[in-house]
Amino acid sequence: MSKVKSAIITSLVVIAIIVAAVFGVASYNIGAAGRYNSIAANIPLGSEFTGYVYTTAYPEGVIPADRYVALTEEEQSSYEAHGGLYVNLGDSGYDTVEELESAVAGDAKIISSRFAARGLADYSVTVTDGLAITAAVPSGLTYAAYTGNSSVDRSNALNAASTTLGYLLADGELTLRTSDASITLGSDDEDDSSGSAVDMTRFEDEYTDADVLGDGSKTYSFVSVNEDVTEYFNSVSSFTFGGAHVVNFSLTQTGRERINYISTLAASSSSQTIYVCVGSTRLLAITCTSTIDSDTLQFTMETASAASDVATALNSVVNGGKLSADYADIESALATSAAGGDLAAVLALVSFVVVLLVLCVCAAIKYKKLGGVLSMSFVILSLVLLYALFILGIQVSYAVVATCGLVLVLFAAANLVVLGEVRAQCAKGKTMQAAVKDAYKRTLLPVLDIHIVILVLAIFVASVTHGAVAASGLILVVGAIASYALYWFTRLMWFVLSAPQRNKFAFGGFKREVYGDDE
Amino acid sequence: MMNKILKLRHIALIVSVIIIAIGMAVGTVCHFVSNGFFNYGAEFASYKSIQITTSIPEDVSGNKAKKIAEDALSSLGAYEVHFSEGTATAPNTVTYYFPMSASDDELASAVEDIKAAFEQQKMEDASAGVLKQTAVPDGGWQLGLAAIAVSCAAFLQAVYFAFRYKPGMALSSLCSQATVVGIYAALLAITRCPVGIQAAAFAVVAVAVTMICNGVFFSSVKNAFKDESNVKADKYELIAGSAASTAKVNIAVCVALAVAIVIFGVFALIAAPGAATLSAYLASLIAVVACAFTFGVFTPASYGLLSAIDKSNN
Repeated sequence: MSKVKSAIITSLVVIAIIVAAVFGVASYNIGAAGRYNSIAANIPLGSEFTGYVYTTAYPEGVIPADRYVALTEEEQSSYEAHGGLYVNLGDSGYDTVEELESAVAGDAKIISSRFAARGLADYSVTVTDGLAITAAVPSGLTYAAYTGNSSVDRSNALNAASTTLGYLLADGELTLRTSDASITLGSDDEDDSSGSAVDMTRFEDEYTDADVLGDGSKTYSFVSVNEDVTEYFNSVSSFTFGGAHVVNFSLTQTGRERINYISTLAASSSSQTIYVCVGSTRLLAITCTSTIDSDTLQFTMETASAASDVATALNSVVNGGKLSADYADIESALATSAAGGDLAAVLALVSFVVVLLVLCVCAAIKYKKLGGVLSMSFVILSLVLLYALFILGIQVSYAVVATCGLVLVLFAAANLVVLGEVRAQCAKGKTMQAAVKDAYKRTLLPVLDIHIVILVLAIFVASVTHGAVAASGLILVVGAIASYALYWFTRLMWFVLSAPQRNKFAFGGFKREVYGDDE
Repeated sequence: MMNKILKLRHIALIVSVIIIAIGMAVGTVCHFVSNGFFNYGAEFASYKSIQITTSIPEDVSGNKAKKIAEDALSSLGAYEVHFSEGTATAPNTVTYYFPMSASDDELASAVEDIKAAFEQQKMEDASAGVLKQTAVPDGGWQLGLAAIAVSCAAFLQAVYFAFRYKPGMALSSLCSQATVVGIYAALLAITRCPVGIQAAAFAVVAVAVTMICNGVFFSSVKNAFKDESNVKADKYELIAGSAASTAKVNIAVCVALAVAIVIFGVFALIAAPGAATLSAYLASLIAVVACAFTFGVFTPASYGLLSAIDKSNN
């Protein structure tokens, strides 16, 4: 290869790295109002870096200190202090505090199992003073959103986290509801004569006046209070396929028949909608224009997160996970500051850059020009990981950062094995080109071995586990593949860079002693 | 050095077993007399908190609440502090987190001081109180899933090594994976380092690093056995030679990991000074120590022992 070709290829690679690095980590203002947020600033971060969103569910008759101080003295007199909370047993529906505590403890376990089934990277469920349930999920903010440089992303992430909390803390019966007080059946209905009206007000229940739709209107159950809607369903799950986020209901035989009937009513109604609710929380609005007759029902949702929230909450209720106590409506979810400090995210990035610099400098000092080539590959690998985190939407926690470090270790170990072999071959007096060629031949299988083993481990971890560990597994899959690809890219770049200076430079302190052995 | 380790291979294995046994013993004792087999971190542990709320009209940015809380609570040893900005329906909230061992009297006294400060500043809507947060124990299943995944991967690596190298190497590799997890768990139990869900991820990383280093070692051993010039050489010499040559790679890996963890730890401390910040980094350093011991000492020793058994059978 000529010097010119070598220089052109090297320059192109370096330019590509610089461009990718600039877009990857540099955020800057564009004009007066616009702003470019870097790839790193758009990666969702774990609670260590951007905090939690949390809320507390208080059973009826239990209030926190801030609500208590806002009451009049007369109202306060009906409450008793219980730790940091205040309880009015008359409003709670329980005879003793112990009974209420027992109910709350049981509900906390159910809620915790819902969060576990939801597969969140990180969450916490605690019982507050025995009488309330506090749940927290990572805010999932990007750094740009956390620092206020992307208000839309911030709002979306906080809404998503609040929705997750709202759905997973939903209490009450599972009901299928309509906003139409009376439904005029169409002519295709087999059970009722054409044009007959069904008065839905006969199915009024405790949730009829609850503001399920958020517009103050009443809603009515499609079936009587005595009918257990959970018996309609075997299970509820969610999946994403081809970009569609689907909630999947598996129906029982009874469920199939009843959904057939209910969908006939809904299709004849003016709203043509079935609201799937748990207590006063509306989880799903199903548009129904014709009778449904199937063993499974599938509905698409806007986001995977929403589909998963709905499926998890419904599956819990369907399988006996109904909360026993009545809880007051959750008014708001609050976002906390980052557990690791406000600068945790940016300093973690700085730490990673420092580690990368140390690796590059050590490689360059130890292996001179070839170390420089290796440094280039280290930077490329880091950028691949950065872009992969962004594209896959992986929430970055300490565990994911550690896994990124592991990928660098994998790549470093593979190259150390080769460099050790190159050094050994050079010591035998071979030229650089011959030594490199021989070293790659000799280490071909060992390097392939360690990458295969790590890839298998990563696939297992990504597919079997949940949360932060699964996220680590996923990035390890990407990292293992990238590491092996870059291992050969390094070989290519060694060839490109060493070609113009054939036989002229030393490697790692060893100078070529025997000439004419270039095979 | 490696020759010595191989000569003292029985002792090396016994040391591994002793470390694990001590860890199990400490964990078991702590399970009955203290806070559990491990010192479970915030995700799994119950805690006490002092929650201070101020309404937005009285304290627009929440700075008054933060200042009052800082004055009254900074000396009590909170391991975490959160601030939540108020909304139209919720007040500003400052929460200080304390371990369950924190004194109720001290916390109650601090709350009285805060209430007095509220009165002094005529903040009628503000409130402060001590809350006991009891964790719902369920994190175990996540650790369990991670353990299943790692076990499956370690088993597959052993199968792969059995075909690719030798059954003895596969068995030794499997023992190494078990040992690294055992020593990691034992060191976590002995040091009482807080164990969060991140610790499970570090266990996976430790196993992965051990897999990488075992791969390098066994490949070197296989090459040494294959080398025709080594036909008459003593098997232990070859194993020791391979261990010595791969030790450079393995030491470099451990040193690089340790340096990286220290760098991350220092920057994390800058972001949030406090002992709680360091728990994750401490756990990861313990994982590195477990890795270094396992593939530096245990793997060559265990393979040396298996080779000796093989030799005596032949």
